[in-house]
Amino acid sequence: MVNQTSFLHGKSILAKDVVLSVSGLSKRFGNVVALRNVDLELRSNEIHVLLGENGAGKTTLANIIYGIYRPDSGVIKFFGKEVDIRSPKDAISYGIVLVQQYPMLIERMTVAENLALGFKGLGLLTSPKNIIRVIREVNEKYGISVDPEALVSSLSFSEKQQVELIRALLLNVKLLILDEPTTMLTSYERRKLFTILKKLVSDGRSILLITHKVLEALEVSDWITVLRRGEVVASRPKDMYSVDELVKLVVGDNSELGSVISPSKGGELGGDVLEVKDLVVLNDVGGVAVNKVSISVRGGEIVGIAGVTGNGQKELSEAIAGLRKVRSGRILINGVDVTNKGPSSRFRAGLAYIPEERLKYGVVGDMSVAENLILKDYDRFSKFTLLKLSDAVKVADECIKAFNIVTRGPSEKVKALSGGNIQKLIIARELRLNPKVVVAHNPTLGLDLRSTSIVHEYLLNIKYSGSGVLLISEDLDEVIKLSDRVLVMYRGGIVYEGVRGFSREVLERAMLGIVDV
Amino acid sequence: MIDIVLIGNFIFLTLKNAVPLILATTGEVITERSGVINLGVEGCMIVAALVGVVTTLLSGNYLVGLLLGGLVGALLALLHGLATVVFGANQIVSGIATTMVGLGITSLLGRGYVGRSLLGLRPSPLYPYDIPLPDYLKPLASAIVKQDVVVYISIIIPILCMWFLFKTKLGGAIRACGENPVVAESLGVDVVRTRLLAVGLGGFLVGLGGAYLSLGIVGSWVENITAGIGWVAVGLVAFSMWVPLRALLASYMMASLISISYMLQGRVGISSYFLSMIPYIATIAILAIVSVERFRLRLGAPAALGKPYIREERLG
Ligand SMILES: Nc1ncnc2c1ncn2[C@@H]1O[C@H](COP(=O)(O)OP(=O)(O)O)[C@@H](O)[C@H]1O
Ligand SMILES: [Mg+2]
Repeated sequence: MVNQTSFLHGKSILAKDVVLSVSGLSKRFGNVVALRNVDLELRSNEIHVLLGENGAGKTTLANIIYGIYRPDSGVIKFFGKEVDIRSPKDAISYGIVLVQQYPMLIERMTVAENLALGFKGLGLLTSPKNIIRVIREVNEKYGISVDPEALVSSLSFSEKQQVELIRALLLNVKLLILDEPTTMLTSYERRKLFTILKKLVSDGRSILLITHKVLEALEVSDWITVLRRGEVVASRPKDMYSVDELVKLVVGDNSELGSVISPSKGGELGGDVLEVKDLVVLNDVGGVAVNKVSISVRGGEIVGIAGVTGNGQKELSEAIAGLRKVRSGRILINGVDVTNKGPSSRFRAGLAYIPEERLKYGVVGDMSVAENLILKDYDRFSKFTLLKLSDAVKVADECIKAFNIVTRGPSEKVKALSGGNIQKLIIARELRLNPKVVVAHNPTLGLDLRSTSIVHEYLLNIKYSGSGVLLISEDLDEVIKLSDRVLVMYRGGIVYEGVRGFSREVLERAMLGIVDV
Repeated sequence: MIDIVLIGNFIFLTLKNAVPLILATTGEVITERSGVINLGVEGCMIVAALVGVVTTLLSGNYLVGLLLGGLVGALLALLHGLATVVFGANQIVSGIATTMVGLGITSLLGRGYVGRSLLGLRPSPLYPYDIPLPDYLKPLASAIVKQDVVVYISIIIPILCMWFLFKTKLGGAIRACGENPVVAESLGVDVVRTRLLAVGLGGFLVGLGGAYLSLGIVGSWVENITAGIGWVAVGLVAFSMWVPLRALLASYMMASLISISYMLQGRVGISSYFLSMIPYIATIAILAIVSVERFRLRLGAPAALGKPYIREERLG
């Protein structure tokens, strides 16, 4: 039985009470079964890790517990009592808070205004300023330092995440769920986050931490539940797993995990395929996002751009792709000046673009897999302006096979695909056209192990085929692993440049703007 | 001397003509701040204008007419809210439908009231006494002092709305729904309820503005009494960058244009049709500029303006 009073006193009398219990939970989206009959028990004062590949259903489960989605069937109990959570508002009233994968804050409002939104202790007409004092107290207690009056859009990713933690604390969280919280953090920020989480648990709160990283699960958890294709395949204390076993559980039987690649092999370098000279680009609100940046990429090399999110990488990649206007400076692709040309003439000059915002710039969600695959050279598939779909389908079948895209077929709508498969589709389309230079922005963001290693292999193949790659990535490990040269971007400028053999330490410091002379 | 009288007249007219614009623009600012565009402003205003006249005649008190006009404006706006916020209908289509219904219904039901005088029932100057000032200052002073109570209230309302939108938790929730409803919901805001509230509140102010048009300015019911004032207010929302205090200023600018064109008619050699077109041309120019999303965002438009919010839709 559950011991209510024990919770109220913070320390449990029974060693471990069950805080959350989920049983028989199922959820489908159209034809996709996201969760099938999921059971889960989470005890007090523990960090419970939910581990699984992309598309395993982790986010769906978190969203159901937080009331964003409604389950098709199943029962959720919180401290032994069955609860019906219909909205985040309900969840918050029980003391359940979710920190989602991407910061869920209103960018054009201050920290305090954001935090006031769900806060109970304020009347509808009082000023959000009244919680600033409470925010400061929480800051002090947990070693967080976020200015309550700062505009959210001026914060870094990790600061935004801390705002979400403060939010959870202000809401007096009992069960904190974090969905892939470490994806965009530097290793220093990650350690800091884990320290805070441990403090929270020792304060008598419980944590459900979602990740697709096996080592991370073993590092922080007390208990691990493995989710695969919507089903729970194992759930035990951390010590009862070995690393190998855990990897097998996560990936399943057909573990054709990407062969370990050795990126050190370098071929002959060709001429410049991409030249960016003194580029200045503005952000959405008219501020300077890219400040006099010069980059050159030669055929046969991968140039990495590292940096903490929001230092101008997005604007840089959009400017090169022709999606954002250039203030001053020049962009040459394969020797052709494309500075003021649109995306299509850049593509004709030999540019391929793998965007970060896949659904916005990469694909047309409402069109089929086949249509998306021929989006850039559809004129070759049309006769008298009518599309010859049979040819397109043939090409699509080849791509699906070659790139291992999981889909129900060429005619499926792209928005039904998972993130990893959309990414593979974009890469398949871009590579079909033999580009001279590929610009990839966070190409593996949010992808699981298998998809990530496939993407990495493709990028290396582009390099071996004699084309150039500009890899703009916020994942430092990825940049280190693949790049022949690395540039570090900070506040819109390049503050550091190094060749293969970089020290992680130096790069991380440069990413924070600290450059040793 | 004649100039002073003319200027006094101009100020008097401008302050008065601005009232429907101030109320409607401020109301629509609140609505749009929650992410909902209500193109039914014109329709809400005209229905409120008729209801204002009818209920004032029935009750013998223009305050009743004003309030009921406001309530009817809110109800009509909530109908638009129900269609768009609750059932996810297209906001543009539903808004224009609201306006067409409003125009149609009033021209039908208003027939019996055309030309019926509100004599003695109209809002009267708050300060009816003589002003103890020298003659050459009197026209200016009375332009400001001899207005009815609604004129003064219309100045206070944008200030109140300023405080409400930017300094209270509920105002923050409304803005959050306009910026990003998915995030707002995740932060614990009930998006549907909050948007409905903003639409209703905005509709109330729009309705007040409509009722003042018939009661305070024209003084009777006339078919098509709004003559596009609602659309002008929609344009002013963007021109005021979705800030209530700027809505006050923008309304005075537009009202002075209207007063000038009114006073110039017959005085200069320009066609009166052309002069009365000026406010509408300005409106079209504003709307053309803000229909480009980039311009709109730079002006400070709510990022999710006009976009429906559907739960369980994938985020991207
Ligand atoms: N809103 C949605 N609409 C349609 N399909 C969805 C939606 N959310 C998730 N899915 C599908 O459900 C499955 C599980 O997704 P998700 O829970 O996001 O996985 P994870 O977080 O483990 O990567 C995937 O196949 C995904 O495509
Ligand atoms: Mg996920």
